[in-house]
Amino acid sequence: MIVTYIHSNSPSVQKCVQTRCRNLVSAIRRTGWHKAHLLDLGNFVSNTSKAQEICAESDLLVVHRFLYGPVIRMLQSWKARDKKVIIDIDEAVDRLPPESESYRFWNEGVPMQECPGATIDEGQTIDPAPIEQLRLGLRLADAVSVSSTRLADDWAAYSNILHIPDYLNLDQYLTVKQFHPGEIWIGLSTEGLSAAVLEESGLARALEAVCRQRKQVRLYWVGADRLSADGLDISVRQKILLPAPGLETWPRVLAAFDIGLAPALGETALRAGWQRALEYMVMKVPWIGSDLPSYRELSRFGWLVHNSAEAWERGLLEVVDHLDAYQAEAAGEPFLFALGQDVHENVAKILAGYASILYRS
Amino acid sequence: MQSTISTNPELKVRKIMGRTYLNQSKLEEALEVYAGILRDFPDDLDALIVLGNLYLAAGDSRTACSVYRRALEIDPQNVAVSRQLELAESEEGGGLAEKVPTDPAAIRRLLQRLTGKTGSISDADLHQAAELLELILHSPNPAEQVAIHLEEIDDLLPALLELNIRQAEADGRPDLADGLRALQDNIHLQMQPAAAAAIPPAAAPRERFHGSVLLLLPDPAHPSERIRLLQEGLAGAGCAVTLSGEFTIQAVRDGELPHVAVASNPHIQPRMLESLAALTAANVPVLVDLDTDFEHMPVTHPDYSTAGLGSPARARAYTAALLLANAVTVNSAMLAESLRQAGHNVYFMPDGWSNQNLLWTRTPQARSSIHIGWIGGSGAWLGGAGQIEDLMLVRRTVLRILREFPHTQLVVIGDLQAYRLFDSLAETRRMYLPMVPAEEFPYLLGQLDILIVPLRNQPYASSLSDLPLVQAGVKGIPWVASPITAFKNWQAGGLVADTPEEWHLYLRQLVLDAETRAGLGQAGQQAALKREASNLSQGWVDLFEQLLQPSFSIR
Repeated sequence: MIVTYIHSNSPSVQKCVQTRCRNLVSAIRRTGWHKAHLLDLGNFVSNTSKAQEICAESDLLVVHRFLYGPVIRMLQSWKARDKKVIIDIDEAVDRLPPESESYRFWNEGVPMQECPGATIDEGQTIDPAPIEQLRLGLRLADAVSVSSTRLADDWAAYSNILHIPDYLNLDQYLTVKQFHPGEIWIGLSTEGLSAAVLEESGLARALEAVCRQRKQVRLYWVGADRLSADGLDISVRQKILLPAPGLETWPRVLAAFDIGLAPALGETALRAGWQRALEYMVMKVPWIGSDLPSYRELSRFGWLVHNSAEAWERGLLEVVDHLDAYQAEAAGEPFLFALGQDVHENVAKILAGYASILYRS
Repeated sequence: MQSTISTNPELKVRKIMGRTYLNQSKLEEALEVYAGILRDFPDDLDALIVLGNLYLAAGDSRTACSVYRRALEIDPQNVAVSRQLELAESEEGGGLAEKVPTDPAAIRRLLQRLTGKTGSISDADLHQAAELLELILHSPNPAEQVAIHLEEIDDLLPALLELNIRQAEADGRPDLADGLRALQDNIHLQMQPAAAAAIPPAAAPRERFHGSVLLLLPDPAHPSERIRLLQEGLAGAGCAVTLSGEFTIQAVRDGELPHVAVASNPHIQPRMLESLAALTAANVPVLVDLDTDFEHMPVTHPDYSTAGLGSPARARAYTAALLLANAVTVNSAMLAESLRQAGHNVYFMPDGWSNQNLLWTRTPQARSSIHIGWIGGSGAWLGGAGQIEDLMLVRRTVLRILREFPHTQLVVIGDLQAYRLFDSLAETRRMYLPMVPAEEFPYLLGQLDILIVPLRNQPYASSLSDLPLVQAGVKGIPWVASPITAFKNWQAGGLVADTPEEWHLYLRQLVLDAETRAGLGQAGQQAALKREASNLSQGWVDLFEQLLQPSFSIR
């Protein structure tokens, strides 16, 4: 089997591209039996010689998220040449909140950075809106792969569904844990979060309260360039601000967390994958997350709290005050479970799913 | 002949199938259909007339007479039937009429006669065969008897088989009887006398044109599908074909004169008129090929702004081009007639397809639902496919069908606005496919099981090409279409619907009956073969030869 993953180069989705495309390519190649390629959208819609060579060789084309206008046209061209097509959806792009980074692209057709093929003039928009084009385009896909069961429910009407959860590439998490004697670093990556989520989930107020009550706590705010921590009533001494790290440095940043946070709110969060919590688990970091379907399967490996300031505060204080015990616990079953979610361990399942689509009569 | 107007949709479709088979010379299938019609509808006049005609053609005038007389009992005033009866009576002689003309055995015998299988076995042969069989079976040494009568057995083989066939039928073993019958037919074939007349030696093939042809195009980098097929067909016929956007006097000086020039829609690029003038001055015959009725192109047509005659420059260029042309070629008989009446020398050169594109012969994946499809958008190679206003004609009918049959899906190709006309349908019941380049169009067609081609009754539509139906035919897709001249002339592979009721009846029938779909699809495929590019190129070569004759002059 030869699989080509077609992905965007937009900076805002590179983490997802890593998880949904690059990691799978790495795993498939490592099997030695199958081949996998990566192809960016720009080459694909321009039908460059590189794209032609790769796609002609492939049995299966997997498009990550961006199914619209020029992508649909090229996919039709390859379907005419007997290629099977899977659309990979790992975000509820049809339910994005207005403050989301990609809301305007999906719902208003405002081009995103690295939005290839949309050769439109300044100020113009993609019409019809990409979300509508996605719905239309899904009907010509042979299957839709999704990262959560809720997404499976959403898109089952359009095509066959493959549930491919977020897997980790453990090779990327081989890093040494950092310790902070006398301090407890509560880490939060702002990727995919908005100020509204932090406020409405109650996490912001809870963090303020915990920092007031426990002076050894430091809020390790990762991605301060994406989302400012200025709105939090926490002393400067207790805030450690870091710009968003690159994909390669993220595991080292993660290794500095003593406690990880996984807040989630809204329709999109209901359908999100479990990657954030899984990363904490593989790094043996005790974590607290919102009590949503995304994390419910992992509830015995962490703390799930209702989205209220009181619940978050209680959860945080509990873990802060008994950190040693929770860290010991995090090094046990949660870590073992995370190891089992290595993409290389699960590639056979993924390939079996692909084969069921390829050889479906 | 006056035919019985039947409101029974199933009967109507069966008759269309029967006519289709006759047109394709599939006598066995046609006879099966008409015999079946008469078994179910014994008073159907059309079927009686066809059967009578077939018996007459087979030389069985007595049976033909009995069939015609039956027809006259139903319609005593039918002049055509009376004439046929007179003809049959004048040929009457020898043999008995079939007791039941629609009986399977009678139909078999009719088919044998029509297809030239003259293996009728005489009563004397049968008697002799029976005696021989009796002798062998009751002989103390059957092998010896066989050896002695080997030559006689050889001569009587068909009769011996006939005895066994009748015994098998009497024993209720139709399968055995069929097998023996097939053996009998083979033996008949082998026993045919050698051809009576010697076949005269084939005449030496005449020299065909295979000179140089200049295809003059508004945009040589993007030739239309029609031109691309022409290029391919002519190249296959041995012509040297060049595509260009212009022809200059310099080419004359350099000796690069083509034998013939074909200018495609030259009015789109008014500067092409200079090329036409240069060609004319160089005495190169010029054909102007028009792939659309530009004179009646509606303002709402997607190509009107680039190709319509609304622009004074294009209108002047159009008129000038027609005047400069030695001949005009068009892709629709109606358009040819219209231009002919305006005094132009016009030839109908139909649209086609190319088997070089393997997507035409690729079989699509099987699917569980029946896809009813409509193709919108522009593109000259689509023969002027429908616009949203055309689809509006049948929107309610299509919705009715989709509601009635849950296993159907609507597929709209190339026009998102048209797709949105069906927003009341669940998204699982409809699909939108964007248009693709011409070479991938067969893939899109392969997503359909039934093609609908509704067209408004307007001058532009009446001059459209039959290309959508030809293309559907290549893919074996049955169609229901509006009664424009080109579609009625093409006929093969589908049903022409004039009223909303007919649209509903035919769509319903096609959805319900897979066999009808398959039969019509096959008929369309057969008919489409003659529109393959290599076949069409012969017509063009003929035209070039005509243009190049010294006596030819038109300007």
